[in-house]
Formats: sequence, structure tokens, C-alpha cells
Amino acid sequence: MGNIYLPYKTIIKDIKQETPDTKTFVLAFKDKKIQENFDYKPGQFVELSIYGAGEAPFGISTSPTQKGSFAITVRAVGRVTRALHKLEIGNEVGIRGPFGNGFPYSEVKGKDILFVGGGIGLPPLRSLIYYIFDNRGDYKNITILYGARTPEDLVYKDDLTQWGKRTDIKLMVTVDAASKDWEGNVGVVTTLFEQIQLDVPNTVAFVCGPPIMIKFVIRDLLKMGFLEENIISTLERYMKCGVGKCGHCAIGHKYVCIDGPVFNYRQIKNLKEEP
Amino acid sequence: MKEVLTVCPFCGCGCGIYLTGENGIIARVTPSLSNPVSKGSLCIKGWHISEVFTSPNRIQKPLIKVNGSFKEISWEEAFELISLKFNSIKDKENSFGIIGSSKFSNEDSYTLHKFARQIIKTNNIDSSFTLHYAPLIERLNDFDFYVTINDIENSDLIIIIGSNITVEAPQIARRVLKAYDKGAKVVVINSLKIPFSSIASIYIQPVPEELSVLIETLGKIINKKSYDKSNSNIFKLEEIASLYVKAQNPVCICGEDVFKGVKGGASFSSIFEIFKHRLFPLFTINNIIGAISFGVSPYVNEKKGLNIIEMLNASLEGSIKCLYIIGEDILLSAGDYNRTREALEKLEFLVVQDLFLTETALLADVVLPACSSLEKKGSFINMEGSIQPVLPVLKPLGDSKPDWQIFTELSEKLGNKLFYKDFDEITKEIEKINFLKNKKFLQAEVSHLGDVISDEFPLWAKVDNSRLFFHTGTLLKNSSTLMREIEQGTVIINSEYAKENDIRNNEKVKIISKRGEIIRNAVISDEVLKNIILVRGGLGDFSSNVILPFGLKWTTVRLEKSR
Amino acid sequence: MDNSKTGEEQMNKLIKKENIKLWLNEIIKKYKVIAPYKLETGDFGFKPISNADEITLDYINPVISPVKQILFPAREVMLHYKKKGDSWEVELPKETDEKVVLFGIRSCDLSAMLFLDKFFMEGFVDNYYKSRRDNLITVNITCTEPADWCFCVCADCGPSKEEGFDLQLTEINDNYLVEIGSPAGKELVNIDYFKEAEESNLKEKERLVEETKNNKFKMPTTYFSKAIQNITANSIDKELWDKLGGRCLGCGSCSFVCPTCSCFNVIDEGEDSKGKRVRSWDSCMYCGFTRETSGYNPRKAPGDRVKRRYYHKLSYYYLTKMGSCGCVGCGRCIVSCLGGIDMPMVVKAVRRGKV
Repeated sequence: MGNIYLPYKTIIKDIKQETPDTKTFVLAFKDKKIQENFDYKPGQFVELSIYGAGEAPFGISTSPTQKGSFAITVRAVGRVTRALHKLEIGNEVGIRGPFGNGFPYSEVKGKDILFVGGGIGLPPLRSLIYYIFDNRGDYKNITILYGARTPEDLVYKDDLTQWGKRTDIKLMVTVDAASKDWEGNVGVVTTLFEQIQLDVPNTVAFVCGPPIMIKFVIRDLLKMGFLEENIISTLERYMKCGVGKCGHCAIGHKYVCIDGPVFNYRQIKNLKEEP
Repeated sequence: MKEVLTVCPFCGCGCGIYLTGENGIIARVTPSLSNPVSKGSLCIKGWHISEVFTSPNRIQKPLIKVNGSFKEISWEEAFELISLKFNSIKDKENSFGIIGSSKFSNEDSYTLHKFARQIIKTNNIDSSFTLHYAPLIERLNDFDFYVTINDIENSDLIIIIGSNITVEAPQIARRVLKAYDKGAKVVVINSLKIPFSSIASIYIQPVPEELSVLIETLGKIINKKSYDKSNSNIFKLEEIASLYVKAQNPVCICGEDVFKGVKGGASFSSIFEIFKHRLFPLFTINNIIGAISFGVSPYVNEKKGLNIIEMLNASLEGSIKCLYIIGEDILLSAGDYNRTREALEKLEFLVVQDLFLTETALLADVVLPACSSLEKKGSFINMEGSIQPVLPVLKPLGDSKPDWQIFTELSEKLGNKLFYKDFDEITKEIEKINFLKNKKFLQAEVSHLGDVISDEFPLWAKVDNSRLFFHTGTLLKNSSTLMREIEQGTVIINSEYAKENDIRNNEKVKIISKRGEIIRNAVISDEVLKNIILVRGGLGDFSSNVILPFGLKWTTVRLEKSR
Repeated sequence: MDNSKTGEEQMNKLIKKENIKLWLNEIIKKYKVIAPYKLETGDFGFKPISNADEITLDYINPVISPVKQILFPAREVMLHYKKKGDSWEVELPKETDEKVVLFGIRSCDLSAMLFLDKFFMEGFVDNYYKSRRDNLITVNITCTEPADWCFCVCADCGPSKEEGFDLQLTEINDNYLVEIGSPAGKELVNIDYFKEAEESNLKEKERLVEETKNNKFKMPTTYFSKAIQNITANSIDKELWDKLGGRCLGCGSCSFVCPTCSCFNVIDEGEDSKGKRVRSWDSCMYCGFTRETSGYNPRKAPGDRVKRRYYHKLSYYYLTKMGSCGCVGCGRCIVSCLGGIDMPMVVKAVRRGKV
């Protein structure tokens, strides 16, 4: 029986600088068989180990339909993330996973999907976005709204350009504060709501970003008539083991690493009331 | 997998703990149920002993400073170099000073006292007792331990003066709560709001410079002398006096803000006069009483030596040329960081003996690796005056040695023998001459007036090393659990003051005293009075003492916005 | 070890008191036996024994539960790592098949073990716990002399158990009644010192247990059900939790001495190129337990943490998840809490609505 705490070796295949403090790491398991069999749901996360620094959870930002490798997008804020940023292509890191419940990608088939992302909240959504692209026929209208503080802070700049070219989705990008060359929307992401038309009863919204952004987005979505069950977001808690044993991420009667981190707004509201 | 009963090496409570040593690490810490102090419980520090003492940061070999960095050498080489320098310096009048640890064992203390007086022939030997308990020094011959830790549990009136007990002595806080649950009344006189303020039936929050007058007045009321009734707290004082007189077994607990507060000498004097046999001062370091009791003090011989502050001043003046500092991070504990640093850097020769490379050790010419109390035999005296044995759980790490052994071997190198072949010889000698009983202290006064409020420095500032900080943080830094519990260093500012001076929450603020300045994030709160700020120690900022004078926790400051 | 009773095989045996040590010495030849012993100080502990003379069955529960001591130790190396060129060499600690007999625990600790079994071995299976648990044989002792702080009856965890043990001993006059709970237990008594127990012995045991329940407990009854109700409904004033939180000294003792507590922290220790990943006990009562890298702390006030702890122990959701409430009534929290906050005290406060 495999040890649930034992990381598997992965190699850093590529590193991309997204913003001054954020990088995307493309990883592949050293053992090709493991990489082949590595399957996950959009919205799940992995625990990344850098021996000596420790372990930390990161949402997978690629879709399981993309084979051969997977990616995570990491901002350098703590011990593990800073150590990770010092690594180079070819270096080895440990991975455990996938963990978490993932997005309800199959339950929302046949519906309109609204993505609302803020700053570093786009990475987990990206996993579902690409899954939907690869299964486009299963979903109806797709709208992606994404905002960051400044143009520099936008992640996946190349992806955004590609998505902008697609005719089967609607993409709108905004920044809080524009720079000289910025020609797009200016204003917080909620200002984009006025510019779109939604079939609210048949739309499911996926929201990820900084807590304050989520708060205002959900407020506006509720005003628009969204049911609480149709607003999907993630709950953040400090995580350690990722397998529901260490106790750090427990909230109410749930473990964020097992029962989450994806929850609908009704569940989040209830959980936040619980000790 | 044997469990060894020993004493926790952190605070002065002296909890009995079982440690299980396995493959060079501590596998388990268990509080003793039968030990009268721990009674089956420990504070957060005790539970995490395992993370601290076997840290890879321990110094394992003697070090010598070469071109600004340290190089490992053998004990032979280290002793050779030290004895050469010591011999050349010690014969010059008053040029040598020894600062002993308040954390090493009684036997280490006694050996160091002999080393100082017989080998180096100096009375300039002291421990941090003078830094932490200066006001007690003039009362040393009158002072005795009348109240035990468990007496507090049975008290019906507990008067807490100048101490945040939950931080200074967790086991005492536990006893106070137990007494409170049994119906005891709790009185708190403290300039800062503390957790026990909420269970106090009478709570006085004096302005720092007012404390000594308050206590003096209380004394007059209790002793039915005439007193000045104009004080704003007079009704509360009268009530306290009345409770005290009626109580069956009252206890007065005093702590840091008396000993290291403004006009601490006067406050303590009054407290001592009123409460003498009912007094329980909090000695918050595991063997600070042992240090002074076993001779690590300039006050135990016919001729008075220099105390720790006088030694630093003497170095600045140029008379003291050499300091031998054992187990004390004086750079961070003395206060007045800049002045202390200058004093240490001015020395001709500095030897530091310690477990870790402390800030003080970094300035040394030679560093000697001592082993911790988990690695040797000994005894500690806790805050109620009980002598408790300490037993080794592990072998000395690397090449480290017990302090008493280093003193003995060094004395041999210096051309004299200290006559101790082994540990038992030391204990035999102590018993034979009945050292503890026959010791008498010289009359001494340590002037500790502190600062005064002025236009330039209109606020009182206290530097609060929170419970986890534990003095200088030397030990704590090695435990990731304990370090996790320390948040960013902050300064607590009264809300009214903040409003008047446009200081917002989380804003960076500069705190300036006449000795130096530091920058901290502001936290607006009403746990402090309007003209007091509380500098809370935090991760990495163990040197808030920049702003403090020697040996005090309080100073006067002004605030400025930091850009 | 499979603790389910297999109907026809379950038999009860009797052994003379004077033969217990002889039996133990036989077991010691074949198994590692961990049993209670008395230290010089008067404290009690559990340790591996080489001779039956070392043990005492007349003991006060040690501060740290023997179940945790063995199955979920305070400090445990999860793996060793070493840099080899560009790669990391990772080694798991060696597992042993050594069978261990945990002799002489009590129903409270046994109940805690069953609780921890469910926690660690359901869902994701904790390998370290399981490998030790699979090799553990438990011999429970029916308690007839509860300590001043015991309240296992209120938690429905003692003084005797119906199942979950490999063997259960009850002192009856000059004998010990031995109830066999599993094939592994049966194996232990496969020796001459035992004879079949009679119906009257079982009746005597029941009588003893009833007498203990009715007369021997010194703690006033802890009425769990209303507390469970109120805590589950989250209907308790914040003030009550804040008052309790004001007493908390943040020592973590409750989490360490509580035999059902299982939270841990994982830290890499060592130098840059070589070290080990260690898990060690952690406490939800520590301020930093839930603090996130951003600095945000969802349980910043001590009262929030007290509330969380008792929610975890008593709420209905956890009760249904785990099959029993998180308290076994051992009373260790009463002994060890520096702030005087313990299960009976909190249950009472939550029922009455005030501290």
C-alpha cells in the first residue's frame, strides 16, 4: 500500500514569469508511467515538496485533458514558495495528489458558464476553462471576466490574448488602475457586469480571487438573481497534509482539503458560521 | 527509551518533566503528575523543549574569530589562546569581568564563583539578576521564601502588582485561577491591561511613575498611618487595605513592571515593607536565584565587585579590557542596545560560552560550546526557593561540555587547579562548607531611576517580550512551533492618542527614545492608557531594547510617522 | 487486529491472580510487551518490560495516554531525504512486523484507540498509524477504582467495554475474568494457566461494574446531551466562549493529554542537503494553528479556539462521522489545563448558558 505522505518525483519542465512575483511551473512526473496515469479533476490541488523548505498546496492550473505534464501558478509569499521561485528548469520537486473535490464540471454540463476571476484567482479557474474548451460541445455560453490591479498583475497574458480571439466565448479583461499602454477596460471586475447579458436561471458562476473581490462579486451576482447553489467558489484555509489528518484546514464539520476547497456559496455561508 | 525526570530549563517555575532521549533527540516530553509545580501540566515552551535543544544551530566545537568569521578549533587550542590572554589581562587592576548565566546549574554557578575569586582573583562577577531584580539587591539579607507555589492556590486574597502573570509564570497563573475558582478575591495593580484584569474585583491602572506612590499610600492605610487622600485611586486603595487586613492568607505577587519599571526601587521597597512574609516575587528565569545564591554576584564577598551594568560602563570608560560571558545574550538583554554594543566592541578580548551563536557570541573573539541542562547533571532553584535536581537525558552534543567542566579545565590551563575531578566533588564541597546557609550579601544599592516624561519624550513605552519571546529569544528561535506563535512585532497605541495624532491601524510608526529608534506596525487598542505605548516583540525583532536604558523595561519616547 | 467477536469462538476464561505474572512472563518470550510501571517518583508510565515483576496494575492513568504514546507518538520521522546530484533520495522509515502487546490499559484509553482507529484508518489511510495498529494486541482492564477526575460512564466509555479489545481482564476476588475479544486475544490465552469461566463469574463482573458505576465515581455527572445539542445548533453566546478564552493560557496541554486529539504539524528538519520530515503534535488552541501565510487568522481570539475545540469534540456532525463523541471521560483535561477549562466544566457552562 502506498504511503499517502510520500511525494513522487517530478521535474520542472518549464518556468514562465507571469507577473513580477508570480511564476507558472510546468511539471512532469519523472516516472513516465505515473505521468501517463496521472488524472485529476479541474479544481483539484497538489501538495508540492521542496525538501528542507517544506510542503505547500497549489491548485492545478492545467486541464486534465492536457496530457504529458501539468502546471501550477505560484506567487512567492512564504517559505516554500520562495524556495520554489529559486529553482530552475530541470530541478526536481516532490508532488502528492491530486487532492480536494474539484469543480462540479460534470454537473454543470448543458448550462451557461460565467467565470469571474481576480488576480491570482485565475489559475484554478483556468483548469476548468481549458477542460470546457476541450469539451466545448457539452457546455452552452461561456463568459470569462477577469480583473487585476494593474496590467502587469494580469496572469496568463498569452492565454488571454488567445481567448480573446476565440469566437465561441466572451472574454472581458479589466484592470483597477491602467498603465500608459492599456487600452482595455478600467475598473474593478464587477464593473464588467453591466456590459454582459446573462441567462441567470441557466447560468452557473465560478468565482475565484482575493477575499474582498469575491465578496463584492457574489453580492452583485445575488442581486442579479443567482441562486446561492449556482455560485461556485473556493474556501481558503491553511493546509498542511492535504489528506484530512493534520487538522489545520478543518472548518465546521468539514475539511477544506477533502470536502473542498470548492464549495457553492450556500455551503460557504453555512461553513463560515460554524466554529 | 527511558524516561528521565528533570527540570524544565525555561522559566523560574521549575516544572518537573520526563524527557525520553532517543538517538540523540528528545522523543517525548511528559509533565510529571507528582511534581508539586507541574502537577501534570506544562506551558507551550515546556512542551516544545524537543525542538529547541537538539537544533542543528547548536555550537558543537570551539570557535575562533579570524578576519571577521568563525573558524572551528580544538579545545586544546581554545584553552591555549584563552589562558594566554587571560593571564596577560587579569593581573591589571580591575580589568577583568565575568558575566555568568542565570540559566546554568547551581554547580556551574558555584564553580564559576570559585573560578572568579580564586583563579582570576576578581570580584567583578555578576549574572542578569542585577538586570532583572536590581531593587531586590538591597534586601537580599532580609529576603526569604515564605510563600510556596501551592500556597497561592489556597490563598483567599491575591494582590498582583506589576505583572502579567499569564506571561511571566504560567504555573502561578494556574494557581491564581484555582484560588479564584475557590472564591478568592483578586486585586490587580498594573499599568497595562492584562488577562487577569477581567477577573479582578479591584483593578487599578496607574500611570507608570505613579506606582511607587500608590504602594506607599497603600502601606500607610494598612498600617493606620496618616495618608494623602487626594489621590484619584484612594477609594480603591482603601478597599484593598480593608480586604488585606481581613484576609486569612493573602499573597502579593509582583513581577516585571515593579522590578524593571520606573522607580522600581521605591515601589519594591514599599511592597517589601507591607507584604514581606506574604510576598511572592516572580523570578522568571530557571536558575536566576541559583546564580546569585551560589556566588555569581559581586555582593557575596568582603570586597564588592562591579555588577553587570557597572562592567559595561567600565568597558566604555576603558578600565575593563576583558569579559568572559557565559550563557547570557547581554547585547539583547541589557537594554540600551547601542551602548551595550559599543561596550562589547571596545573590549580587548571577549570570550563567550553558550549553546547557540547569540548576538553577543557573534562579537566574541573565542566562542566555547557549552552543553545544555538536558546533557548534564546539576540542580536549579525555582521561584519558590526549592532546589530540584537536573539529570542528563542526552550525551553532550558534539564537543560541548558542561560549564563547570570548562571552568575547571580552564583553571588548570591558567596554572591553577580548581580541585574538581568530577561533578560529585563540587556537590560535596558545597555541602561541606554549607555554602547556601553561610552566605551573606553585602549591602548595595543599584540606582535604577529610569527616564522621566518630557516635551521631547512625552510617552511611556514598555518593551514587552511576550510569553513566547522569553527574554532574548535565543532558545525559542530554534523551535518552528514556538516561532509560529509569534506574530509580527507591533506597537500598541491608545485609540484616543492615535486619533489625535492621525495614526492608523497597521501604519508603520517610528518610536524614538534618547537612546535610539525602532520602527513597528501600529495596532490601535485600548488595552493601554493614553500616554503609554506597548512595544510588542515579534518575529526577528529581538532588539527592541535599542530604546531602553540598562536593566529597565520602561522608557520615555516620542512617535513619528515612518515613511 | 480484528476485534470483532466471532460468536461461537468467544469464550471467557479465568486465571488465578497468583498466575498472572507467570502468564505475562510467557507472553514476554514471544511478544514485545508494553505495560504500566511505577517510577521512583510515584508517577506512572508505560514501557516495554522484560519481566512481569516490573509492572503494576494498580496505577493512575499517566498524563500521556499509552495509546497515543505507541500509536501516535509526539514526534515521528515520516521520511528521510538526501540530495544526490540533481535528484533527491527519499527513504521511508522501516516498518516492523513485531507484534506488540499493550497490556493493562483502561476502557477510556481503549475507547480513545477505537476513535483514533476510525480517524486515521478511514478515508485516506495513515500508513504510520496503521502499521503500528496492525501489530498491536490490546489487553484492557476493567476499572473498579476510578480516579477523582474520572467520568467515563458519562461518556459511555467505561469502566468496562463490550468490544474493541483483544482481551479484557476483570479482577474478581482471587481470580481475573478474561474476556476474549478476538483471535489474537485467544492466542494469548492458549496456555495452561487458564480455565473456563462460569456464568457466575460473568455475573460477578457485571455486579462489580454496576457497583463501580453507582458508587465509586467522585465527579458529579457530566450531562453531555444538552451540551451536544447546543453546540451543534451553534446557539451559545459568543460571550461565554470569550470568557472561557480569557482563561486559556495557550499551553496546548489539553490537546496533548487528550487521548482522542490527533492534530499534527509537519516540519522539515536538517541541513540543506540532508534531513528528515518530522510530524509532531500540534494544538488547535495555539494562535498560529490556523494563521494563513497572508497573516489572516480565522480563529484569532482565544474564545474562537475554545469554541472550535469543543465543537470538534461534541458536535453532532462529528459524532455521526466518528460513531461516538470525542470525549472518553478520562479526565486528563481536568488535571492538565493551566486555565482550568475542562470538558465537565464546559459542558456545564454550555448547558446553563454561563460560566
